[in-house]
Amino acid sequence: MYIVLNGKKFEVPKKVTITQLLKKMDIKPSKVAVEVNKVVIPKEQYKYFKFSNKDRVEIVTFIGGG
Amino acid sequence: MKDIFKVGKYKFKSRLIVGTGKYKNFSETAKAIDASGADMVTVAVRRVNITNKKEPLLMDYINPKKIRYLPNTAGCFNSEDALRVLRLARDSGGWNLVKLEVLGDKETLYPNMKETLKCTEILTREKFEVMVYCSDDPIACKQLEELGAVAVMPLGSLIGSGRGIPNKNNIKLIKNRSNVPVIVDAGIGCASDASIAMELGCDGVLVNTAIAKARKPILMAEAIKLSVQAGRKSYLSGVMQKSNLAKNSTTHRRKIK
Repeated sequence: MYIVLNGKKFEVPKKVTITQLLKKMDIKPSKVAVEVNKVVIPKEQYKYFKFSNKDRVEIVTFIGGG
Repeated sequence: MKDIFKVGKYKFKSRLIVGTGKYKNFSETAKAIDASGADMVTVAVRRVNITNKKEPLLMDYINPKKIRYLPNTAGCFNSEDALRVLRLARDSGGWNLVKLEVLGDKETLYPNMKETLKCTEILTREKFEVMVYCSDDPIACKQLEELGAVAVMPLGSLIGSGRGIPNKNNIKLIKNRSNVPVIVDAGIGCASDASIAMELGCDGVLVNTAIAKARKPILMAEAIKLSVQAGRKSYLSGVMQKSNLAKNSTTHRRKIK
């Protein structure tokens, strides 16, 4: 299956969780926020939340801004 | 004399808030913040670079445990996008104190006040503490306060323009009527502009481009730190009445004849 991650098609195994995805991508959960289909997923749910096919996922962080 | 800067339930030592955009790199950003003495900085929310994971992160240079991050909605042109960004920001690290800006058009980056008011109401209901970028309109500022904004942030002049505060009277009117902190956001071009904002009685200033785009950003950060302190002390000391005619500073008594 695939998800649309930050605007790009991304192949992932079935039933992969947010925690597993972040680990695979070498991203520290403490430094990001995750939104799936425009709903923010609280950090405590990362290990339970399983992606579905074609989910639209945004992983964001803080950058410089005025 | 204790002069603490309080926004919502948060207390700050510095009345200068620094924006973290437009610097050469994060190292320069960190040095400028240090020189500015600011203990609150604005940050923006953007997608993680998934193709280059080695790209440095702001958090690696500016420790959010030491300096308060003020997530903003820079680049949002409607309330839906702004709400989305701030909900993500809150989850990212528990940031409840946020800066809302809903822009009206790309050329002026002037706030869209209709959307800004709508968004402030929703965010307050969702228990955010909202500092709001807004026009220098005393009525709009009052409406924001009534909707629960914890601070109003009228523009001095256009974002990134460095044109200072052409309409001082409006800023003064806003301050005189406000029960929440008034922070001049946008338009500060140099140290004296920041002093003027503080002498008008404002509670703080937010500065980004004036520091980041100075030839020597770290030196300018220090200059603006000092100008904010000077302006605040000048305001608190009670400025003298202006006069149209000269008044001698030296007594005429015992003058030689």
